[in-house]
Amino acid sequence: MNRLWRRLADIVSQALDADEREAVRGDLEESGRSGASALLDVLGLVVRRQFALWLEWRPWAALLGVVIPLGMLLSLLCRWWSEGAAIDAFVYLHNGSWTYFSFQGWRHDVARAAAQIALDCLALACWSWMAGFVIGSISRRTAWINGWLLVLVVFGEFFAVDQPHGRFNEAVFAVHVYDQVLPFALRAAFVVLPALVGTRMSRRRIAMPLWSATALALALVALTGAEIRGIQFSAILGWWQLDGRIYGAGLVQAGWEVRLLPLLLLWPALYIVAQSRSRQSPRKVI
Amino acid sequence: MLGEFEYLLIAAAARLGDEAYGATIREEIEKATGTACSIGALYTTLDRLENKGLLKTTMGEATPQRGGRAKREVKVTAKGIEAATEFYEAVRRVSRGVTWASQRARP
Repeated sequence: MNRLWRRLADIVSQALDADEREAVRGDLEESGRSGASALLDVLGLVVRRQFALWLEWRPWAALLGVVIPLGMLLSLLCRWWSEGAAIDAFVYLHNGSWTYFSFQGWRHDVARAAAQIALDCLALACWSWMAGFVIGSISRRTAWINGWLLVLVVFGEFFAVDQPHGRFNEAVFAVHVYDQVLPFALRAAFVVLPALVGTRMSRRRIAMPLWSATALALALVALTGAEIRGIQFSAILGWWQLDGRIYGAGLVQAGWEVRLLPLLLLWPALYIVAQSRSRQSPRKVI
Repeated sequence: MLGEFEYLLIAAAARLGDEAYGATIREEIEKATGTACSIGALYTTLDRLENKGLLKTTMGEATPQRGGRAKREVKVTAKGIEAATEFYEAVRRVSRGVTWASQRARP
C-alpha cells in the first residue's frame, strides 16, 4: 500500500518543474514520510503552484479557447459519426452476408462506408492531437490540467446528453454495443488519446519547425474541407440544433454559427503556424 | 516586514548553515514549533523569499539517503539577515513587559 501511495506521489509530482520535482522527491525520501503523507505533501505543493499559474491569462486562454469549445465540438462530432458508423455496421454486418461480396455494388457500398468511417476517425484524431498540442503550447505548465479538463468535457458531453436516435434506427441502437460502447470507444480512441499524446508532445517540443507546422496546417485544412458537410450536419441535426437547413441532395443552407465551426477546428493549426513563424530562431526549435 | 513563517524559515536556514535544504529546514521548523510544516508552504515561501532577494537557492548534489536525488540548497543573503534581525527586534520590542516574556526571562 505504501508503495502505491509513493507511486501516486511520483505521478502527481510530474506536474512540478524538473528541479523542484527532484528536490521534493529527495526531501520526502530523506525524511522517510509514509506514502500517504508524501502524496498529501506533493498534492499540496502542486495545488499551490497551479493556483499561482491560474492567476495568469494563458491557462484561461487555453481553457476558454480550446478545451471547452473544441471539447464540445469534438464530442458532438463523435456522437454524430458514431451514429453513422453504427448504422453502417448494423446494415453491413447484421443484414449482409459474405456471399453478397460477389456483387460489385455491395463491395462498392461497403468500401465507401469503410473509407468514410476511416476518414472520420482520422479527422477526429488530427483535430484532437492539434487541440492537445495547442493546449500545451499556450500554457506548458498547466498543460496536464487543461488536457484532463478536455477529457472531462468530451466524456461529460457524452454522459450528460441523451439524444434520441430517431425511430427508424431503433433496431440499431437497441444493441448495447452501438448505443453505448461505440460512441464511448470512438471518443476514447480518436479524441482523448490523440489529445493527451498532443499535450505530452507539446510539453517537450514547444515550437514546431515552420515547414512541418505549415504542412500540418494544410493537411488539416484539406481534412476539414473533406469533412465540412459532416461538421455542418452534426451541428444542425445534433442536439445543438444550430440554424440551418439540409436538402435531400445533401445541400446545406447554414447560419453563420454553423459556417464558423470549421474555423473553430482549424484555429489551433493556425496558432501553431503563427507561433512557429514568430520563433524561427533555431535555438528555440527542438 | 517579514511574515512569521518567513522568519521561521530564514532563522532555520541561518542556523543550519551549509546543511540548509528542504528536508532539514522542514525538520528544524517542526522541531521548533511542534507543528507540521507542509512541503507546499515551505517551497512556495522559499520562492517568495528568493524573489525578494532574502535567500538564494541552488540545486546541490545528490546523496544515497535521498534516493540519488539532488537537494535544493538554501543560503540566507545579507538582505535576509537584515530583514530577520528587524523582525526579531520588533518582536522583542513589542513583547517588552508582557507577562509571558517576563516569565521566560526569570531564571
